[in-house]
Amino acid sequence: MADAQTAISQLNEAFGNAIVGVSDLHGTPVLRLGVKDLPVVAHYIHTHPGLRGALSLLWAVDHRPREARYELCYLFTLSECRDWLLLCTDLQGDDRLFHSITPHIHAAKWYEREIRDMFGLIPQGHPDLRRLVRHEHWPKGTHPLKKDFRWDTVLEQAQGEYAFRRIEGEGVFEVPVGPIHAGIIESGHFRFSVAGEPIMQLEVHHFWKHRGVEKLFEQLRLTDAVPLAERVSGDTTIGHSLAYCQAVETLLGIHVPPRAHYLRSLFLELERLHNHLGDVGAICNDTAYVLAHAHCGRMKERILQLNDQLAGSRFLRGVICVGGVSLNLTDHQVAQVTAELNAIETDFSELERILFANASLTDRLETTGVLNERAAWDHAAIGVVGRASGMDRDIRRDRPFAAYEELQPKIALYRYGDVRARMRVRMDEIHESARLIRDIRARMPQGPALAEPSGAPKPGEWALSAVEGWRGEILYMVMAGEQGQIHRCKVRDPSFVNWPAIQWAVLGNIIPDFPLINKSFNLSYAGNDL
Amino acid sequence: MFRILKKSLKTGVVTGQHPKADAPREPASPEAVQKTKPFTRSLAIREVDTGSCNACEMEMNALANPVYDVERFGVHIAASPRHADALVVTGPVTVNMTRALKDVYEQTPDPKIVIALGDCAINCGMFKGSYAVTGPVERHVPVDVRIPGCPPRPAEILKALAELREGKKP
Amino acid sequence: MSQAVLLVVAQTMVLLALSPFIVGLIRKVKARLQCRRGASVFQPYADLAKLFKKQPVVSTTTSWIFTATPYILFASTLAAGLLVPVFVSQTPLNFAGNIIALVYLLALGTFFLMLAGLDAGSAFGGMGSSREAIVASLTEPAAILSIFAIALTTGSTNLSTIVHKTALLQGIDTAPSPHLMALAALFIVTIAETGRVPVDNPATHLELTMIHEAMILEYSGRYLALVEWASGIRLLVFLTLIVNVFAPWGIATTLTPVAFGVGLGVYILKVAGMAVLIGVIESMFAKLRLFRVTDLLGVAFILALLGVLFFYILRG
Repeated sequence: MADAQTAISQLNEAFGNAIVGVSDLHGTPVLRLGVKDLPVVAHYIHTHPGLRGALSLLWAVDHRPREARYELCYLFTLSECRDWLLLCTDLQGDDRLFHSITPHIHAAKWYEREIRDMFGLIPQGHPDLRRLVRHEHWPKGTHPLKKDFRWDTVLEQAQGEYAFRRIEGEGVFEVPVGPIHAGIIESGHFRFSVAGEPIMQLEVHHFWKHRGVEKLFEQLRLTDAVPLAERVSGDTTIGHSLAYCQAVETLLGIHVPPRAHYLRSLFLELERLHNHLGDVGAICNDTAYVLAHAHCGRMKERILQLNDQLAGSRFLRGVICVGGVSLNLTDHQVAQVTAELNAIETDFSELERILFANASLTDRLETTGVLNERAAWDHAAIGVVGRASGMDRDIRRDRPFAAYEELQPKIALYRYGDVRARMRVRMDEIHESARLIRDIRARMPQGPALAEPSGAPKPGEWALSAVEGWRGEILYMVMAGEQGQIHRCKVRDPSFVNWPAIQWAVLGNIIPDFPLINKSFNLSYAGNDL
Repeated sequence: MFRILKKSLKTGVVTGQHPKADAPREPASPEAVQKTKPFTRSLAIREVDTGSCNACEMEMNALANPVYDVERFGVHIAASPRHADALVVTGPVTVNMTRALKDVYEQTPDPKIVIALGDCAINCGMFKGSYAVTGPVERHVPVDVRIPGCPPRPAEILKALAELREGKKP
Repeated sequence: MSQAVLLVVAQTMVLLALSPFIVGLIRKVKARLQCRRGASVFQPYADLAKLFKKQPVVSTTTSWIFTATPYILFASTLAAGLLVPVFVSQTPLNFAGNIIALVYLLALGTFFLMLAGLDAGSAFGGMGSSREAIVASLTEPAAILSIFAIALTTGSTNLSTIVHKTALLQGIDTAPSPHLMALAALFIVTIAETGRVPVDNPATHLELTMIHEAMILEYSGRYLALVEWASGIRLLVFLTLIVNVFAPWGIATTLTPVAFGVGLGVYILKVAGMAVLIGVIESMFAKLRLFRVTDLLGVAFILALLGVLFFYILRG
């Protein structure tokens, strides 16, 4: 069992001369390395049996105009102790090349392509240097997150075609799906290579909905950006705004009152509940078992109406703010919430028993879309998808935030990784969320729910924050700029990590099963595309 | 097998069990009402997401749930742009989706109406001016109806649709 | 002679007018089971009326097959409907065809629809056509065999003769087991041929899972109206086949106005009852995985075969 400190000593022993500096970021050790040495150290952290670090986040910061350098940071989560470990490196002046870690750490592939698109820094040795975020009609040399690129630039049109990986052969067909889909669902593109019905290859081509969120964050002040965080992924309002506020509170040194912590957990669990209820119904709907979808839709609607009653917004917008929550629920309201949830939980349990007993449904769900444990590990899959494939990670337990230190949630874990496992994880989490809310009601202390935002961070100070949203782990990195502005805000929705994994989960399945597999993942397109 | 039927019969019809919405903030223009005349009894909708955060999609999905049941007004979701009468567009039109929006507009047969759903579709919301946004929707395709909100509640969407169809109910 | 023409016209009218109602009734039943009010049972009429007024958009990459198919499909399905006794047991056109003609007229429509699905060159159309080919090739033998089982008991493959004799309880000298087997087989065939759950979901928006709907994704305006109407008539034809071949009592065996009235009324009730049954069955099951559909149709074939065998075994 190696914790972060032991890891540091191990790394010092192995790579002593490569490590330029060791520092601490709010309890997370930070190792500063040279650009050339970083891949070797990263590989060691990833594969060494005592460490087995999974890559959680990889981002770049353009420090201009204050300093003429780009900084690359690699966040690893050590598997056993679940501590964080940061590796940082700098590209000085006009240097634009860095060494890719993707050949050894598969989870880095999209991060590095994103950095290349947004900053113009080239990961040498990356096996796939096609554009990711920028579609082919963006002019060459457009790198939006560079500091000399204005946030409101009007882009010109260029020509180009995305080069999909093709499979040639007799009887192999290419099926493009999207970006506009037939149902009421977000826009994204899937390119299949099928031999009749079995899927030989799936390539996911997203970022159609890229709105420039990270650049927009940089135009706002630290205390004003909560509404933007709420709208990164509309169904994860609380998850994202909470992650953002936690990062800012760490930067500003604000102590959030205990009651606010409990209320934040309450709202987060409400969000988890209504989304999981909708998902269970939607998975059944994609197998044409519409009655389950109707009942789940009915229950989800009850929670959304409850939200509307409490907060004036069906998605609880405007509730989380820097320093706490703007909505201090009365005890009577909390009792109302638990009463409503008890009724919904009984309703849902009845449906759950019916679903498990239905053979035609089970036949569709079992063995479909298996994401095996090895593939999940290689992708660093997180959240519901990860937990259904044996990846035992949940930020509520691993790095407790809000009131989860006291609440001790039980984590649902399944190993098989098929659609049924993902549905079971959601069903278990529905029950657990209802139980947590009852627990919150029992333990919540009285007191204020909002602390005044105060303090001014020095430009260049930054903080990391993690929240277990309903899809999975949401990570925010917020760096302060001049006069309370945001210099850099790195947003990572769990969908960014899990989308590539779906390309592996569909192999061996027939194409009519794809909508079911996709729905069982239910990843955010907007949260991914930013 | 039969338990689900028993559950449904026990629950009964839940349509309409929602708080009533206020009158739409942007009343339907007479031109829009005129254009909708062929569709008062049967309307096929195709939803086009040009960059929304997904909240508008969730509210549109809620329209199909038993509580709002938009099907009772003769409205259904079309599986193909060729089957559609109305395009419901959400999101500030991102630079990557502009072409797709124009294409789907061309593929939808006439007569058709375009409904801009949500603040982002009407005026780009808080994404206004971003390098990645070319919207709002009316810059690219003519818009007949605007339903503001972030996101608009399903009851508000139903009310706007009903006003568009001059309150015709079966 | 003129009475025959009147009967044919009347039967055509009934088929045309009743099919959207049956589709609407199934949707209503499903909606009620989903705890919602659902559209009115007359909604499909409004849908068809609107579609006829819309301007069709035809892709430039299609051939004459694309624009001709809706008419061919509509005509062949309606013609097949005229071969089946609806409210009169002796249809005027009973000389024109027997069950073989019925099955192959329906197959003609399906064949052209499959071609049309391929014609537009879209990926989904092609997938729909190939899946429809699997389903159609397996339902054909099951459908024919199941009606053969009944034909054996009444001694003729002519539908009018079958229905007339069964209605008058003439020549039924065997136990009902061949009938039951054949009924089960024909019911499964109906579900498959009309694209209902558990074979196909008519209300889905997921193009990758569609079988029948995928072939018509490119149609619009009046072409779509004709194709949708033809599917409704096809459903009605199959339901009519089931109720009138296996339980024809109430049908008009004499040519009097009273018999017509009673026949029509009983017919509507029976078909509506079947529609409700289909709506309930659609709500109880999830859709089968695509390659399990072949298993289900195999079961239908075996049941029909057993029906035929039982006839011979029980006759001694």
